[in-house]
Amino acid sequence: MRRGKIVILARNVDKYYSNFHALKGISFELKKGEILGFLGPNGAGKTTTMRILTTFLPLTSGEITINGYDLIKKPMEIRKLIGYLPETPPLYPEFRVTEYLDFVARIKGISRNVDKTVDRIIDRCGLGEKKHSLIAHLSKGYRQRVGLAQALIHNPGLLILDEPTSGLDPQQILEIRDFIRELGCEHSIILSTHILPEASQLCHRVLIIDHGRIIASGSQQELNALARGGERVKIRINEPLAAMNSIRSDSFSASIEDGVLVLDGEFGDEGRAGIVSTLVGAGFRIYSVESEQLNLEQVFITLLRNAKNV
Amino acid sequence: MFREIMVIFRKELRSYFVSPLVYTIFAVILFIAGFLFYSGLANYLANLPVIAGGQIGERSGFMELVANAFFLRMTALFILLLPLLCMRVFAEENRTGTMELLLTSPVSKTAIIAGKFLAVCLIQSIIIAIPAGYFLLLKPYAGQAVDVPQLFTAAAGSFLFSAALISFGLLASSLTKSQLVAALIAFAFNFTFLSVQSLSYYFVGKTGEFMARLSLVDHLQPFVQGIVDTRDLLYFLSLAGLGFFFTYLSSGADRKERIFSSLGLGISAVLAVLLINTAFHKTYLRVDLSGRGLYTLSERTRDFTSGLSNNFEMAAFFRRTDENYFRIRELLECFAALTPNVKYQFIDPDRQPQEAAGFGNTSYKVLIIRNNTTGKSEKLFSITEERLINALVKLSRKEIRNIFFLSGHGERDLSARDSRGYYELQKKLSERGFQVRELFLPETGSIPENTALLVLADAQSPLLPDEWSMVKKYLLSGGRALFLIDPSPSYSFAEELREFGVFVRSSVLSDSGSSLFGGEPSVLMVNRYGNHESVNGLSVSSVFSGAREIGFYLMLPKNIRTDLLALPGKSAVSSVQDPSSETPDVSRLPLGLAGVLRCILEEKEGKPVLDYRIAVSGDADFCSNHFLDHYGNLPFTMNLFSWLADEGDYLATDLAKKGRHIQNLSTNQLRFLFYLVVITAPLLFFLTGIFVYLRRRN
Repeated sequence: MRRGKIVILARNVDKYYSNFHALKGISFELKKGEILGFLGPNGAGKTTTMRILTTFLPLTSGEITINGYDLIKKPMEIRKLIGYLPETPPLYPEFRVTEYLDFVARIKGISRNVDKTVDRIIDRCGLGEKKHSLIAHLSKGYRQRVGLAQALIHNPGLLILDEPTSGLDPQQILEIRDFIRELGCEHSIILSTHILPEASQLCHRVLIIDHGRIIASGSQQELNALARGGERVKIRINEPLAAMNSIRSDSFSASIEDGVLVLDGEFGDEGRAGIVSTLVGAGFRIYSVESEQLNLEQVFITLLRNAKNV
Repeated sequence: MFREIMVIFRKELRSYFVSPLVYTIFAVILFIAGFLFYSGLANYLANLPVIAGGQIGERSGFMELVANAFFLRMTALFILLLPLLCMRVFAEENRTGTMELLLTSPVSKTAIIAGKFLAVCLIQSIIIAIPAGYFLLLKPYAGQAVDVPQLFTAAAGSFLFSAALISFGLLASSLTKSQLVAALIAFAFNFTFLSVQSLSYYFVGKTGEFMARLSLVDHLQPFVQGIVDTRDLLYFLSLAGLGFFFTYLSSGADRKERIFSSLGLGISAVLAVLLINTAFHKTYLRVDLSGRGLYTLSERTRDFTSGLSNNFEMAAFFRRTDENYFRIRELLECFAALTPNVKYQFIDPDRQPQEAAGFGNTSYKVLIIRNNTTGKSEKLFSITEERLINALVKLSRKEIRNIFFLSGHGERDLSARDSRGYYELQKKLSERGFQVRELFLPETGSIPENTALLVLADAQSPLLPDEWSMVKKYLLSGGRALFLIDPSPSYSFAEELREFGVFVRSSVLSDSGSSLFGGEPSVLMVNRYGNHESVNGLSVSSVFSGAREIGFYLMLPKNIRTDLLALPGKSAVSSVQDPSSETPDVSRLPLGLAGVLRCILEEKEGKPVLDYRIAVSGDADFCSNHFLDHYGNLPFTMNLFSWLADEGDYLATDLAKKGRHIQNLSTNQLRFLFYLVVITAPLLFFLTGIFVYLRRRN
C-alpha cells in the first residue's frame, strides 16, 4: 500500500467535560497505511480522542479533517470511513453472531449482498465455528473477534481500535496482534494501548498522551530501543557523590536523590553485578541495591533525553 | 432515512422477540385484559334485564357500558406496563456501550430514535389489538350492539395515548444506564401526566378547565366514544413529538454536559407545543364515527341552533369530578361550535359564588340557559340534547304559542296523573315552550286568535253544532287540529271528518303478535311508519292501545296531501271481518292507526303560505301518562305536535340513539369466551416465550 497521503489531520483539539479539561490542544496526523499508537496511562485522554475522531463525542474546539472531510460538518461521511472498536466491544448478547453482523452490516449502510458480506467477514475473523452461537455464550477472545468483525464489516479505510488486546489471555493477545498487523496492510489504523512492547511491535509511530497532552511522539526505531526497557537502580552507599564520579559512563545516566545514588539505563543482572563489584572494588560500602522498571513516560522521556545527548 | 429507520426497527423487534420478557408481558397483559373483558361482559349480561329495561338503558348500550369502560381501564394498565416495555430500549445500549456503535454508524440520531419508537409502538399496538379483537368475536352474537367503527377509534385512541407515553418512556430510558432507574423515571412521568388531572380539581374556572385539558384521559375519552377530534389528535401527537425531541436531546454521549445547554431548547419546545394546541383549540374538526352518532347533534338541532339570532349563555353547575361532566361538556361544546351566539361555561357554585350569583343559582347538577337578548332563562336538571334544544326553542320564541285542548265533552284531563290522563303530555309541551290550556267553547264563544293547535282528545259526546262550525271555520281559515279518537264508546267524529276526506272506522284492531312482547292483544306495536316528515327517521316502535283504524278517501282535490303515519303490525286483525260489507267500501283504502292531512289554501311563488292541517289518530292512549314514555311514543307524539303547530323544528332526539344491547349469548358461549380470553390467549404467549427461550439457548 502506498503511504504518504494524509488521512487524519488534527489541530489543537480541546475537550472539556463540564469543568474538566480532558484534552489540551492535541495535534497530530495520520498517513495512509500507517499504524499509529496512542500510548498512555488510564485517564490520559486516549479514549476521548478516539471518541472524538469517531464523532461519538463533540470536540470543544480545534479542527479535525479525515480524508479531507471536516469532522463537524460532515459527520456522516466520516462515519462511513471509520471502523471503530471501542474498549468493550459493542455487542448484543441476546443475538447470534450472524444476526449481530447482519444488523451491523445494514446499519453501516450495506444494503446489497448482506449475507455474503457477513460470511466473508466471519471467515476473515475466524468466527466460522461460532457463527450460530449466541454472543452471550462466547469467550472473551471470540467476543473481541466479533468486535473486530463489526469494525471491519464495511471495509473502512480507517480503523480505530481502543485497547484491542485488553483483558485477553496471552495466546489471544498474540492472535489479535497478528491479525492487526495483517490489517495494517490494507487499512490505516489508530490503536490505543498501555502496553509498551505491543506499541513497539505493531505501530509505525507512537504518541504518548498524558493528562490530555501529547507529551512525546516517537518512531518505530525509537520504540524498538524503548522496548528493551529502562531500568532504575537505586544504591544506598556511604559516599554517593564520589561513587557517582567513579562510575560515570555514557551508557547510563547517574544522579543523586535524597542521598541515594540513582542510575537510569539498561543494566540487566550482569550490568548491575558489574557496577556493584566496581563500587565494592573501589572501596565503597553498599547498604542496599534496589532495581525498578521505569514507567512509560519516564522511559520515553529518558530515551528522548538520551537521544538528545547523543 | 426510511431504510435506516427500518434497520433499527427490525433490530429492536428482534431484541424484543428473542427475549422472554416481552412474551411474559404479553401473557400478563392479556390475562388482565381478558379478565377485564370477561368480567365486564359477564357482569353486563347478568344485569342486562335491569339495564335494558331501566333508565340507564335509554342511552347506554353495550358499547357504553362495557367497551368504553374496558378501554378506559386498560389505560391504567398501560401506565404501569409501558415503562417496563420502554426501559431497556436506550438504558441497555447505554450500559453495554452499544450506543457507541449506533452513534458512530452512518445513521442519524433521528432514525435511531424513530426506529426504536416504532418498534415499541408495534408491540403496543399488538397489545391493544388483541383485546379489541375480543369485541369483534362478539359481533356474530351481538350484531349492532358491537359498534365496529367505535371499536376502531377506541383502539386508535388507546394507541395514540400509548404513543405519547412511549415517547416519554424512551426519554426516561435514554437518561440512564440502568433499566430499573429508567422504569422508575418513566413511572414518574406517567404519574405526573395523571396528576395534572387531579391537580386541576384544585383550580376553578378557566385555569381549571385549561389544566383539565392538559390531562391524557381527557383527550382519550372522545376516541373511546367514537369521536375523532383534531384537537385530541394534535394533543397526543404533540406530546409524542415532545418526548421524541427530548429523547433526541438527551440520547448519546456527553449527556450531562448537554442537559443545561438544552434546557432552553426544551422549554421553548414545550411553549411552542402549548401555543399550537391553544391556537387550534377553537379551530378544529370533529367527526363522530360511532355507529349511532351518539355524540352528534341531529340535523334539526343543528339547523335550528345555527340559525339562532339571540345571544345565549349556558352555565353548567357541575364539578369536574362529576360523572356527567365530560358528557355534558361534549354536548355543550357541540352546541357552542355551531354558532358564536351560544356560549357555555362550567361553574362550581361553592368555589365561584360570584359567577353563580350572576345566574341566581347556588345548587349543583343544574344547567341554566339564559337568553341574553331577552333576559329570560331556563333551568334544566337533566341535560340531554332534547332538553337543551327544547329550552333553546322556548327561549328564542317571540310570541306565545297556544295549544288548546277542547273540553266539555268528556275529554282527557290535562291535569290528571292517572294512567289515562294527559298530565305528562301537557308537561312535555310546556317544556317545549307551548302554552297548554283547556278551551271551553260555550264560555269563550270563539276559538282564540293566537291558537297554534286545537286538540280534540277523546271526546265522549259530539260537539254542539255551533262548536263544530267554529272548529270548521277555524280550520278552513288555516287552522290546525288533532283528533284523538278512541274506539267506542268514545265519539268517532266519523261524520264530521268525512267532509275533510278522513275515514274513521268503527272497528277495533287487535294483534295476537303483541303477546310476544308480553302485551295483551289490544296493545298494538307500531314498527312501520309512513313516509312523512314528522316520522322520517323514527326507528323505534311506538305502542298504541285499543285503536280504531283510520284512512283517507281516495280522489281528494289536488291541493290536499294525505299521509298515513303509523301502520299496524302484520298480524293485526280488525274486528270487522269483511271490509267490503262496510259502507263505504273500504276494501281498497289503505288504513292505519294515525294519519295527517294537509290542504294548501294559498300559494305564493310555488310555496304554500296558507294551509290547514288535520291529524287523526285512532287511539287516544298513545300520548297518555301511561304510554307517553314507552318506546318511540314520545318522539312520535312530539313530532306530530310540532308538525301540526308548524314549528319547523322537530324533536331533537333520534331514538335510533337508544342503547343497543347484546340479545343472546348462551352460558356455553360465555364459558367458551372465558377459556379463550382468560386462559388460552395468555397461556399461548407464555408457552411461546418458553419455547423461544429454550430454542435460543441450545
